[in-house]
Amino acid sequence: MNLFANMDRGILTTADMKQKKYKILYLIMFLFLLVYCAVCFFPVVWILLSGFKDVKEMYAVPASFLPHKLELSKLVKVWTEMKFYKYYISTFTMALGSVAADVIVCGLAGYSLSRLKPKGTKLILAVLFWIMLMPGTMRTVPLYMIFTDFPHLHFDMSNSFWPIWIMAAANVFDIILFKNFFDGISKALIEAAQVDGAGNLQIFFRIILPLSVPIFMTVSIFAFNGSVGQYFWPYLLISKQNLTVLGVQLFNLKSSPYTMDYQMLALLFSILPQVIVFAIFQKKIIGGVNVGGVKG
Amino acid sequence: MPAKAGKKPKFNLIRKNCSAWALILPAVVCVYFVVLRPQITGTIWSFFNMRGYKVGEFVGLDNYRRVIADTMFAKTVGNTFRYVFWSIIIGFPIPVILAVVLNEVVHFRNGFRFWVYFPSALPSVAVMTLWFLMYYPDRGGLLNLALSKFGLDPYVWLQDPKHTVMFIVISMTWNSCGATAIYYFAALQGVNRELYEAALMDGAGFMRRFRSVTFPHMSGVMLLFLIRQIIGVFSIMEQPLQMTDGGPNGASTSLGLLAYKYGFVSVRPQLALAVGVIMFLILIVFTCFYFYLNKKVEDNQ
Repeated sequence: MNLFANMDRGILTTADMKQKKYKILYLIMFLFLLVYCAVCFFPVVWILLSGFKDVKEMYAVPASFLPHKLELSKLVKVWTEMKFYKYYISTFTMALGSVAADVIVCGLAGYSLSRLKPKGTKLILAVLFWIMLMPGTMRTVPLYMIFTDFPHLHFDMSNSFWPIWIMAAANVFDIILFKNFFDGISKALIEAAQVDGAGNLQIFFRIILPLSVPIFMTVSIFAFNGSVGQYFWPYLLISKQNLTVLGVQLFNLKSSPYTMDYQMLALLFSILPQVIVFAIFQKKIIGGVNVGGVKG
Repeated sequence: MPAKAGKKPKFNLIRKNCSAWALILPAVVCVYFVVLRPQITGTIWSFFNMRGYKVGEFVGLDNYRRVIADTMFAKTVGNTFRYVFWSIIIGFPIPVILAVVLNEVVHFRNGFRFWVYFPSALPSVAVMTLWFLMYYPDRGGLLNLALSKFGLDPYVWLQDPKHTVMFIVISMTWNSCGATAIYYFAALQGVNRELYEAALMDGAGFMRRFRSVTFPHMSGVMLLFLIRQIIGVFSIMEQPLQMTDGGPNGASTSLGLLAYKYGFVSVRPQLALAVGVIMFLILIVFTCFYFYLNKKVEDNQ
């Protein structure tokens, strides 16, 4: 059996692998990947194992990676004592709202800019494109001012998720991503539907939407992952206890009275949503990087 | 669109435009308030005095003078360039190597791709907490635990002002490297196989093939990523805020973090805006260069 039967992608070919020096090179590269993956994976395992140690054990001499015993009940204890269910509920409210805002607002705008092309489309696209490039280093303070005291109307959006959702909807990159995707849908299909007398909305729901499931999935997954993990704006704008999200909880962990083992298990609970999403949608996520990579 | 007989074509056109605009409007309103307006007002207000978050009177370049006179400013400019420097040294070559190696190794390909990407799937706030715990200065931290296995004394890691920037960059690289490697990996799929075959005919070895086929194919994308990385790292703020709060003694405060502290800790938002505008002026040069190059790379492909 030839171990190297289908080397058709890289620099090395199946024929090369007959030579000893290439076999060694291959082995080195394989080991390099193995070590790198261990570096990616080990810190998380360490956190998990250390979370089960008590504080005395952490400082024991000689130190050990493995805890004395794996008490699974500790997971439950940390979950209930730190009230993680509350953080989960508020985080999911924030994240799902952001996904909905992003997909609906950017999806519709992208559709209109790609398919309906009203007067002014070119101008809008040019402005969006330039905005996307603009370094936004002076935006934080004015944005904070808009959300705490809306210009002219003077209402305060802090202590709610509205600022987060509005920011999710203002995703210029996703508008352009949607537009580019819709540009790629065959015109003939739409013209045929128009001949049959279908209106714009009908075309959108019957033809465009079914064909665009992949892009909606990709944008949703990335928007969800991005939103679940954020802490900066929730930290600045939300002080209400029952709206505290996982990211803010993590940010405050350092200065919390919880001991290190609690902090570690709390960290694990905080990354759980993304790890699950990644495990389920890994093909989509790894492939989706490239969708964004075409223009970006 | 040809007007149907008997209907008013002009009315149809307006109606069509209106419904199309209605779909764009929510996005335009959101982008206006979240991006465009802050960009413009932020620039204008940097020339105004502010009381709390209320805009006061015009003061010309006063805010800029006060920022530049602040001793922290020179220090943070230096730190910011230190972040960029270390991210080029550490964060730039690793994804390139990873992508090339990922493309060569055929065994466990999917498993390797999964774990290489894994850290990028985690939120940055969690990664910074994770590394904060790994860098823990006493024996509870993973790195000191490893040192003790070799019989070495614990090290202070992030509390060492000389190297704190480098350690933050290492944790950022751990976080983002996988996704970047996957981009490069995708670029590698576009290499023309015939070029490899031609090089093989000439008896070119691995390094020769890499230098004359693989590298020229990737170099455009690599340069684009390098500039993007410089732009991204130059405005770094959240990572030091979380890991060190800019310390020890300001050794890891970046320009972005300085602006944050002006804006929300010492509540002198006018100074935050001035720092923001200064950063903007530096970054816009890089951004223009990026787009000039991007066009060139696209034209070549």
